[in-house]
Amino acid sequence: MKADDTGLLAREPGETSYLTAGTTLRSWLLSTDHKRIAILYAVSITVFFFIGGAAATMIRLELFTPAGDLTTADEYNRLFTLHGVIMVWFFLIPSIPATLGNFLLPLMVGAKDVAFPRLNLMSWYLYVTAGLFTLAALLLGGVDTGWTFYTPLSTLYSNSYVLLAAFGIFVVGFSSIATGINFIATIHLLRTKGMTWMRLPLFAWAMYATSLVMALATPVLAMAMLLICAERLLGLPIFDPRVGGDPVLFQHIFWFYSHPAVYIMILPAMGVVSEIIACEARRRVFGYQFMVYAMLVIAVIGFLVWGHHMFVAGQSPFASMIFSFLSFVIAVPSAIKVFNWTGTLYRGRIRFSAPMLYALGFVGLFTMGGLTGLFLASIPVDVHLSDTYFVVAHFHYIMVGGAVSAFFGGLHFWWPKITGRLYNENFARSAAIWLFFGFNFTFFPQFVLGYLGMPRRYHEYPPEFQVWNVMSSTGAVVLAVGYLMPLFYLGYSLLHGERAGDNPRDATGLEWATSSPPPQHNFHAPPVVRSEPYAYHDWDEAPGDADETPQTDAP
Amino acid sequence: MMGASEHRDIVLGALRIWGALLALGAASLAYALIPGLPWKPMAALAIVLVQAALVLGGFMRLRQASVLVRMTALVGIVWLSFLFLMAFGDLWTR
Amino acid sequence: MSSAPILVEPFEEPERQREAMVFGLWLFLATEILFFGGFFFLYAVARMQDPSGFAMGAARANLLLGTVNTLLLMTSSATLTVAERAARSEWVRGARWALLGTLALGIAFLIVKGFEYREDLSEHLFPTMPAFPLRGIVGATRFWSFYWFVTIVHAIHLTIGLGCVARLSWLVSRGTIARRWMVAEVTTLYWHFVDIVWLLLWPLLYLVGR
Repeated sequence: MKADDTGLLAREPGETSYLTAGTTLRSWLLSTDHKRIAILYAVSITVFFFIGGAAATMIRLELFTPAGDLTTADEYNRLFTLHGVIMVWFFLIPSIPATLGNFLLPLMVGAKDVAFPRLNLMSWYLYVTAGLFTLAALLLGGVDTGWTFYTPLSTLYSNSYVLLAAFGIFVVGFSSIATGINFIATIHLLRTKGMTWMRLPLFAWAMYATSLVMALATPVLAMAMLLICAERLLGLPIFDPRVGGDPVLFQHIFWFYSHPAVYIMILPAMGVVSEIIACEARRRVFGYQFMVYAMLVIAVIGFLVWGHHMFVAGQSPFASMIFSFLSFVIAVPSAIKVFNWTGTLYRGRIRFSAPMLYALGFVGLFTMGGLTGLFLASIPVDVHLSDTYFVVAHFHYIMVGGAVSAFFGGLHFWWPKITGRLYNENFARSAAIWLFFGFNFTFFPQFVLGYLGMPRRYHEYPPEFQVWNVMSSTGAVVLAVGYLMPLFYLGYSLLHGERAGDNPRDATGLEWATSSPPPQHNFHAPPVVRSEPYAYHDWDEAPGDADETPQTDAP
Repeated sequence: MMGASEHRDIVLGALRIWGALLALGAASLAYALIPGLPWKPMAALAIVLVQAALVLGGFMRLRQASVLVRMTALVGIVWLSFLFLMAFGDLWTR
Repeated sequence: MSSAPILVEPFEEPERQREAMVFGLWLFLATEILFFGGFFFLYAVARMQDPSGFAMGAARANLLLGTVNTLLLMTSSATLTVAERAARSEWVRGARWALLGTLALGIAFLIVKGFEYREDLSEHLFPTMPAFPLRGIVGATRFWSFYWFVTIVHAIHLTIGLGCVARLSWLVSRGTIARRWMVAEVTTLYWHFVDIVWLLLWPLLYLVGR
């Protein structure tokens, strides 16, 4: 850490940080400070993560044995619906954007806050209100339609709390839209002097791409959920087949959102991984511009592939072919990113810290998940693999192996900045490795199960599938233990951890130019950006020791 | 402090657009009610397009807005077209 | 302008704040285009599926009340435009009356809608009613499903807009409207959008198969 003028941006000794500026409950619950809102979100999504995880535990327990002995078929339906609804809308979608994004984006662009701080607070309250509606649906007895709410089961025949859950999802959508609007406006209009578009860190670009998707896809989900509510509440026949309703129409509207939704989940993760790899390998990102274009292309093409969820639903073969082709196309920008992360690692001075372990795990697991997605994009193969455990394994590799790994990596990477404390690196590394093994142990057997033909969403199965199911369920125990580990050492760090300096990782981003934790208004004075991101070494040299140029310094 | 002529301009400006909207609405009603005319749904939608353009340009001042704002308005329409194009692509090729 | 606009966090310059508010609102309007667009997609499919049935259902819609509502909303857009420009020019009296006019027209719209709903219900034009006269005609039943759904959703949007306009009226009474013209600007953008949606709904609900 070299330059002097970063001292101007950091707080004076004795100055309050955002954590200590106001200690009442009211000051937290009514705060418009993006950093506090990020923490509010972090606490809430953790609660929901454990609720969704509890459902997963029950599912894997049931699947230890072929017989349906732990739950009835109907109870099992409610469990996997709960798991899907909570994990998708109340954990994954908000996870990186609403926690790390909220905390870091203004810091990374050199702003005091997001463009609309009060809207930001409202988005958290919308999230919590929606969560309460959905939890109410759960406590009253649950929903049995699957997180996909296919009609006419959800609208006409289901005897479960569809209205309550659908309304909860309708509300949480607005939380997403609000965050998206806020981030887009922040990036367009609040960048500090010298922060041109092509000097933005890749995490900021990831937030931009994600926000485009959040803002443009979620309204269509809102309409889908509202239509379900209207049919349930008022009885208006909209998707009713007896009055000309086509179940496939619901699926078009549902998947128009839900496919881009998976890009809401993965694009932020890609941003986090880029930040971690660059810093921990002490290397400029290989192909920065292509990394930017790749994320934007993924965000746009992500809107054009939704029909690959409907190959066996009665969609026309012609349309299916177009969706299939575009699904292959979208693999290209993702692959470019994987090659570029690898290129960034090459000739780097790699520090195998916990964040780096998570990032490396991401690259491998995301690649696996992505390649298996190509299997599913191929129509003849998908006809056999659709609705089997192959699909379940595919999306868990991306969402858990990918997005959750990246989330944990980011949490650890920026922990010193957010809390001002250091955590025990050895415990953290062990947890990362433990999670990697637990994850593969849980989900790899599911690829085999899918290939062998075991259908998803079934609480009982033929005995020949048992050995793989036992492996998967045992893996789930390992995974669950792994998820509990960070609670202990991160919790300890909050209470007794060593105080972190402003920039313990010697990183170059603007967020590291201010104190850990940052003051309430982020910077003492608005920072000025003078060099590109990731200037960890000179262009024509391999990384040496302490070569980096922070973004506030001239190159 | 602006004078009475400014006030008059404000009111007249709004009135002009309002008049145009009214005339277009009347035309649409007439076209729908007169029997035997062709392409009724298309005509109605075309008239709505003009009315929307008037509201966007005259009331919402989209023409004087920044490029960013105009692109934003366009983005909503373009993205919606994705839904229409590809979903109808399915429905019409079954 | 003689009085400086009120600034909110994190903005330090009025021009930047205005840029952000207008951009943010247009982004929101883009999301609304997609929201209503989902509905219009379903409408288009249903109408193409059974055009004659659809027309049969639409023939029962109250053209007079629907047209009256269109006039009311068009006029309210004009009055709100006057209010917004008056606020920006610091013509407070003009703003006050134009806002009250907008409020009155908006409330009138809801009242007329209420009468229309009452009449529709007295003719049993709600698809779940046992005495629904068009039972069995697919297009007609779907038309009436869509009618109730979209007019209720539109009315909710309008009511929210009325709340925003009422807030502007309150700002006038507090004497701060001239310094808060940016709020007036974004409120009118939203209101005009709600107007455009209705301009699109009017022929789709009331001019079908006449």
